[in-house]
Amino acid sequence: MTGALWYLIRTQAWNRLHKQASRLRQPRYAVAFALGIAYFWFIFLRPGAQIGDRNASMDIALIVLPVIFLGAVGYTWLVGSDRSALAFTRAEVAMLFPAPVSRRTLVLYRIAQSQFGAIFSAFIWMLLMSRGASELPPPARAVAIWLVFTTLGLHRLGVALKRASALEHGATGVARLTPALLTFLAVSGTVAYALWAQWETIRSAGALPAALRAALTALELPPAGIVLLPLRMLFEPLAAADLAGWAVAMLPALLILALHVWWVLGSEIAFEEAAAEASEKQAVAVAEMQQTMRGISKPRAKDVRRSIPLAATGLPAYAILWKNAVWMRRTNQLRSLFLAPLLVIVAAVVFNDAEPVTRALIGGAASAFLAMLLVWGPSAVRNDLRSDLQRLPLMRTLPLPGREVVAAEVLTGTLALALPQVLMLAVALTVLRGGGLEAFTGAMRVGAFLGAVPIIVAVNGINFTLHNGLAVYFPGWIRLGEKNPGGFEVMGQAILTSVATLLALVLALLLPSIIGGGVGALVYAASDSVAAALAVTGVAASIGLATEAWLLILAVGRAFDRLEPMQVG
Amino acid sequence: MISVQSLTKRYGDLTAVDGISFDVAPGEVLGLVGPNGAGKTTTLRCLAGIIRPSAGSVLLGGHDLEHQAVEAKRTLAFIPDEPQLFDYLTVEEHLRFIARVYGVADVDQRIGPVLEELELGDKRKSLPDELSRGMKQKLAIACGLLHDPRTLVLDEPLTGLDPGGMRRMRATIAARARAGTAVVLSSHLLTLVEELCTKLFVIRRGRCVAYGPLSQIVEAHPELAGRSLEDIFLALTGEGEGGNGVPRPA
Repeated sequence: MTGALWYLIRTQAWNRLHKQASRLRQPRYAVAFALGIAYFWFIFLRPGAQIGDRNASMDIALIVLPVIFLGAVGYTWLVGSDRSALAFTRAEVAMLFPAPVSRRTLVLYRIAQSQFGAIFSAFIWMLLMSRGASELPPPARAVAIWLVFTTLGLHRLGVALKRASALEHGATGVARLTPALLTFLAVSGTVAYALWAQWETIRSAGALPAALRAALTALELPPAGIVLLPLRMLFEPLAAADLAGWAVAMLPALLILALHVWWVLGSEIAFEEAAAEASEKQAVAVAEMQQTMRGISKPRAKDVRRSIPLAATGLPAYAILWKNAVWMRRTNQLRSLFLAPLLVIVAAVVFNDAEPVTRALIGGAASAFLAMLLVWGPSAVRNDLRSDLQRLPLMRTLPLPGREVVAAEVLTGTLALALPQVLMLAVALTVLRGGGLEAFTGAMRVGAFLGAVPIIVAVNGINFTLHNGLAVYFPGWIRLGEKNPGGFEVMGQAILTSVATLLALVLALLLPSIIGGGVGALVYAASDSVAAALAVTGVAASIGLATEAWLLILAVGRAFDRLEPMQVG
Repeated sequence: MISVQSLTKRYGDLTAVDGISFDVAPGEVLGLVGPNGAGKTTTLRCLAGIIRPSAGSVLLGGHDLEHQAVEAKRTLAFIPDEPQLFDYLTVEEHLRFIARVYGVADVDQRIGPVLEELELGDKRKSLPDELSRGMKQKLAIACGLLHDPRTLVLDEPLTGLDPGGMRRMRATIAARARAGTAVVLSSHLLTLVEELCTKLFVIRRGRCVAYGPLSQIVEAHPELAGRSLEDIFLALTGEGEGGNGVPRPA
């Protein structure tokens, strides 16, 4: 049977690779691939590309990765494992579960299958970390990163199995889970205590990288240093300065990996065969819970009360906008988009008369949230063509031109994000006063607000159009669905998508910025009013951005009209 | 009406549909039959505007699907074998969505009777997840019929329906045709085809094998006289060779 599963893994991987490669025969995929390769070469691989503070970038990577790892492990234990850790596809459930395959074999199959994603992600991280100071050859670095990802994947799988076991065995299962949970809580408590004990040192370290370094130093002291020893052993190969050091560090790291393999495969021998199926159910339940935490929950019967009226007549494309808005209401996404802004607004109201430093903190938080939503909002709000392409046959039979479909899909996210963004803008402009900002008068703030609001809407429009365009032009490269794909397995792909859209966004901003700046300068020269200049700059730039967005929508609409289900599948 | 001229669809080197032509006048029901992989679904998808033909033309209600896509699609309802629904809209909201897209002003008056006809009256507020396979199919049918289409394209419309649902669906298709709708129906249920279709289009490997009213087809192949539609189908598509001894037509 193992031979059959290996055949399945091998042929599926080969066919997938072959399908991806065959897409390169299409000019647009070939051009995009060439551009991607050129970008990575230019940024990471060309001679002289390794500029800047090499030590600092490597150090930060070495700080960030363990933090991500710790966060992921903690999240896994507290909330449950990601669906991708254990869930099998429908075909696998239908064909493998009734087959005479042991649970252990199924788990091994799942581990082997996840390796493709882990290897790809390791490759991407190897490129991202190639600016570091380490003399470690890139393949050795890639192996070290792969080891971290694989161990984390196994850890998540182990937790998923533990939780599935608990679900299957009721009270006995929960009792089995207790020692592991207690261990985790003890480790977390020790880490929290170590950070608390050294809080003053960390806080006084200054900039974020220095503070993170101070925090890591605090965690090296006993008792945190002892409980976190396995984590350090795992990351040691990545920190090695040369190949010899790497080879020495690999042994303990491999030991950690082996222990995880042993834990996953051997710790639950009494676990009956059916547990794997229960794990799948559990994984689905956990996935739903995690979606809720991300602001996307599967609607239940009671959620149908949250509806929005729709008039029978009017612009037909509005029906698509309405459909997406209903989705946002029923999945709690609207609520989650407004949660952080509401907290910031409450803080702004409460501390409106506080010292400039406190208000600066609130204003900083509002600005940061605004910037975050502007850049990454469209990655989180995906109920547009990125989900509707899954129902392409239905969408294509609607009597609507592609441009109207695309415009309606783009508009939903654009408007939904704009509301919290404008609130954050208003908070930032209100609370950021005094402390050197005296020259920024009330009139100027009003001007800035009036100029920034259309810019926010237009940038959202461009950004959502880019994300939708990417899905329409390259459906074979984009993961479709309302949910943002999670897990380390797809991290590499997510990074590539983010880089592509960010670059395109920067390019799209160039010309409107110049136009806006030019018009604003003329207005200032004519009126001598900064407020008027700010408002006009924003309006002019947003007209430029809106024009670009509309041209993009027309192009994506044409591509949508030509898109066929086979290209999406 | 539906008019298809020299319709061809190629996927790379594979020609899925090879220059087929047919017309379906108002009130006619064309049965599109053929073995698996013959090109039926590809043809239907071309008719519905889901995929673009490599060559040839499709006219729906007098509108060219290539150049007047919106007008052509406005006359059409396509009911696929696998219902495609939005997970987050209730049964009633699906109908309201369709009503808005097709401009059905009296949707409030139509929803009740349509849902009652398809026995979905008590599922008005249900999400697709709460519906059985058959109910989902009924909802897809309700969405298709809500705007009184002048052209109706059905791909295995009885899939998933219970016997009562099948009977009602047959009656609905017949009633729509009597009311002047041009219908194209693809199904492997030859009894359904025999009962409803006024003419047949037999397709094999993307090409037309036979086209016209059943009587005309039998007239052209005298050796098939007196045989059942199943035998005729097997003979025309070459599937009967060596199987049940039915001869291929000359």
